[in-house]
This record gives sequence, structure tokens and C-alpha cells, in this order.
Amino acid sequence: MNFPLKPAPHTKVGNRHEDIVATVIKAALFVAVWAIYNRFMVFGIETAAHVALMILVACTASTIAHLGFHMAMDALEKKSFTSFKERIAPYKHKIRTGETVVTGLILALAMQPTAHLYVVAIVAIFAEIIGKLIYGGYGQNIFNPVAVGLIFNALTFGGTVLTVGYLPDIITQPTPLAALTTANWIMTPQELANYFANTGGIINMFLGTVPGSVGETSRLALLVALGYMCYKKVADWVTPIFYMGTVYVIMLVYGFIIGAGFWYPVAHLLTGGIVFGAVFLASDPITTPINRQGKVIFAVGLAMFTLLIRLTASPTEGVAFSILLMNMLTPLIDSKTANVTTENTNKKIRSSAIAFAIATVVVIGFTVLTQL
Amino acid sequence: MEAKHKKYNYKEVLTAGIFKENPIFKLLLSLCPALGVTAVLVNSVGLGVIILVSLIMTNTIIAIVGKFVPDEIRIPAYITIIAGVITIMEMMVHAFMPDLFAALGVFLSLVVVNCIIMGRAEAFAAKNTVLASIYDAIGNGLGIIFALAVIAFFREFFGRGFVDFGFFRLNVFPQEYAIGFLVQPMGAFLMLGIIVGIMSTIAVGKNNQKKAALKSQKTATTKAKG
Repeated sequence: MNFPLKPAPHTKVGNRHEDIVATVIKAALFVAVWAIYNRFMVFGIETAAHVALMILVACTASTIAHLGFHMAMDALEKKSFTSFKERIAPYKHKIRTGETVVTGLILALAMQPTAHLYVVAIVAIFAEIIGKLIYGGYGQNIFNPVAVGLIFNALTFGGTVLTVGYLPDIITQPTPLAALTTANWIMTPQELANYFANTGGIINMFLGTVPGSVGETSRLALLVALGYMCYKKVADWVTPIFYMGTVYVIMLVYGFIIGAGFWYPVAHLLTGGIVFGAVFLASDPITTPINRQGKVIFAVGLAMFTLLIRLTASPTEGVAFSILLMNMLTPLIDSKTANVTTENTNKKIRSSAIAFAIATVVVIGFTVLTQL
Repeated sequence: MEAKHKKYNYKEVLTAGIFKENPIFKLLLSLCPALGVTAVLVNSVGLGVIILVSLIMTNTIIAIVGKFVPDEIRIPAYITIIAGVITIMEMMVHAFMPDLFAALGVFLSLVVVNCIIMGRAEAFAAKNTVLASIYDAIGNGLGIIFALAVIAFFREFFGRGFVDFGFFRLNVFPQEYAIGFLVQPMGAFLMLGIIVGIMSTIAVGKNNQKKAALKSQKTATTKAKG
């Protein structure tokens, strides 16, 4: 008998905490290197250097925040240590495992390449402390720290006046996502074809040579990173694939309703942070449901909230918001799917189908109603 | 009857409200003004003063009346007294400080349902003498002013880049570097949480220190015995 129950520290495959962090960092670094190379080829050396600086600053800031928080806690709690070596031992361990860097690294990948370095540092510190450390550190957080940081960035520096002087003008041109948002997400097949032609074609959008967030634009690099993490059994393929698949199917139906044609859902997947969110945020084993039944429901709910925010609400991007919303529901999903691994397959399929149908009806119904 | 013969340590009654039993930081009461008006330092201190004055008035009246009011109807009676006092305060502020009245808006009327006023009436004023109740009111009122001022100071400091003391504006850093999140309503929750967290961590540290001191004392005594 096969019980695919997947608790967070994956002891079955021998993955330790350090290995999980190291694998995620390797995957994120691959995306980062690809992003820097892409920026260098398309926008020039200044942009590439700025992106590299952003990643460096974010990693440094989150490390300093992590160590500073622990040192401050030790000082305030007046813990007694016998020697200096004993005092710094936990910090050395944390730096060696890389758990201080991983939040900042992924966060830098999700931010705009025009972001001011001060903004990057503040957001990384906020994500590290408020998103992770106050809950007790890595493995204890209930919300995804990267999503917390992204929302903090959107609410605080959304309309920022801070600019980076040395970047070329070309990088501030509207992203493919902004172009779709100004069109209110409704397009005819002709408009869609024009849109793809204007933004450089589907292949370029897939490879990532278009304006957009640092690591979000290259879908190919993200999928390679996902494949690597799944191969190392750090991430489960269920959440990312069901997330992207649900977005695709719901938008296919919606595209036929508004008469946008077959390529409409592709435009959704190739703009914004859906693929990035699927690969790096939704696959996080800490803040997502434990077993696969829960993961499917989580992914479908994620797609529902993302599309609702995209199509009807004012923020241009809803991935981080929907991740936080579903993180809140994770304990509920876990408790409702606790025994589901031992139940029969029909029941699992039925509940997944119900979740999927609810998501489809809600998204399409709500969007069509608001556009009447 | 008993209250008359009780001896009060007035200094302790006064300071308990400010530090040891601070209404906002320690008891987490009266959070509505703490979250609602602390975006601006001047307004929050203004509301704190209003709460202080109303607390003194309600505590005094309730300490006088408390012995005659039957137990069954004491809550309605206290609420009537408190509502009357706050209405008077509201009219006074409207008449003499129209700017503050406009800035505080609905939060001024909401002082009626402020937990700390009802709480002090029920927990202290109804059972104790008039003088002790006044001391208690002053202590708790000062505690609220202190807490509101601390929250508002840090929110304005980081959220705006300057602190406006009314008579003097302290510019800290350029405004475009300010963390605007903190002057938005959710920033109040965050700032309050951080401050309460720091205070409880300090309390944990004091406990740890005491434990360590006890331990060393014990080992010293056992050594001396040995």
C-alpha cells in the first residue's frame, strides 16, 4: 500500500533541513543568474549590475536582520552564556545552512528591476523579521515571508518617488502585465495577436527578454528550477502544476465567453508572477497543506483568488495576496484532509472536482457580473 | 465599610497604572484609541488628555455614588454616568478646541465605550475611597497618555520621516524614504505588537535574571553549609 503523506521534514527521502534550504537556494540562484544574463543581453550592463546589486543587498539585509534579531532577543532576555564561543555558535550554524539568505534571495527575484536599493533592504528586513522570525524562525512561520515582504512593498513603496539615476530609460517602459491591465483584461483575438507582437512574441515572453520583475519574466528558468526542486523532492509538483493548470483552464473558459480565443490563457500565464508564485511561493512545504489532497485544494483556491484579484480588483497583481489568503486557510484544509489519504480515490477526485467547479463558477460569475 | 479603614500606599496606586499595569501595554485594554488615532502624535496626546480628565471625573463620581447604587443596576448606572461625562467633554472640546475635535472625529464619542474607563469604575472606584480613586484615575490616565505617545511617536518617526510636536517639528530623514505602511491603519497593529513584544521580552529577561540570582544564592548557601 502506498500512503503519499508528506510532512514538512521529508525524512523518508533523507532530506535534512540544511539540504532543503540549500536546494531552494541553488534553484533561486539559477533563476537569478539567468535573470542577470537576460538583463545584460537586453537592457545593458547598468541594469544587469543593478539587478545583481539588488540580490546582494537583499541577501545581506536579511542576514543582518536575522542575526540582529537573535542578538537583540538574547540581550533582552538576559540569557547567560558560559563562553563567547557558545554565544555565537547558533549564528554560525544559521549562516552555514543559509537559512538567513533564502528569504532575501527569493524576495529580490520578485521585485521590479527598477527598485531602489533602500527599498530592497527595508523590504527584506521586514520580510525576515515580521514574516519569519517573530513566529519562531524557519519552519514555524504561518505566512510565506516572501509574500509578506511583497505586500509590504506594494503597500509602502507602491507609488514610490525613489528613483535610481543610472538606469537607462528603456527599463521603465510598461511591462506586459501593465499593458494587459490597462486593456482591462478583455481582448479580441486580433488585439491579442497585436499584444503578443508588441511585447516581443510568445517565445520571448517565455524566455524572459521582456520588461518585468527580476526573476519573474523567464518562465523557462522558473520551470527548470521547479524541475530541480521536484527532482530533489524538496517541492511537490502537485501545488505548482495544479495552480498553473487551474489558471489555464478557467481562463480558457473565460476566453471563450468573452471571445478572446485559444491563446488568451497563455497571456495570463506569461504575464505577472503566476509562474514565479507557483514555483517559489506555493511549493513552500512550511506554509502549504501537508498531504496531496490538501495541496490540490490549496492550488485551486490560490488560482481562484489570483484571478479574482487580477480581473476585478484594483491591484495589478494578486499572487502575493492570494498566497497569504490561502496560507490562512492552510490549517483548516489540513484538518479537513487529515484522514483523506486512507480514503478511496473516488472521494478524492470528487472533492477536487468540487473545489475546481466552485473556483470556476466564482471567478467567471463574479467577473462577468462586474463587467455588466 | 471596609474601604474606610484600608490604608493606601498612594504612590503605588499612582504608579501601578503607568508602568506595572499600563492599560494599553500590559492589560491590552482601550485599544480602540491606541489603534485609531495614533497616526499623529499631537492628536493622540490630545485624546490621552481627554481620557485622563474624563477618567478623573467618572472615578470621582462613581466612588461617591458606588455605595448607594444597588448591585443589580450598577452597570447601567455607571454607563449613564460615563456617557454623561463624556458628552460634556465632547461639547467642551468642540467649543474650545475645534481643530482637535475635527481631527479625532468619531473616536471622541467612542471614549464612552472605552474599556479602561468602565474597567477602572468597576474594578477600583466602586470599591475604594474617593481620594484613592482619583489617584488611580491619574495613574491610569497618565499610563494611557504615555502609551499613546510612544506608539504615535514611533509611527510618525518611521512612517513620515518627521515628528510633529505641535510647537516644534523634528525632521529625521527625507520624506520619500519614509515607511508609509506605519501611518496606515494596519501599521498601528504592527507598531503596537512590536512594542508589546519588546516589553514582554524585557519582562522575560528580568525573570531570567531573578532565576539566575536565586540559583547563585542557593549554590552559595549550600557551599557555605558544606
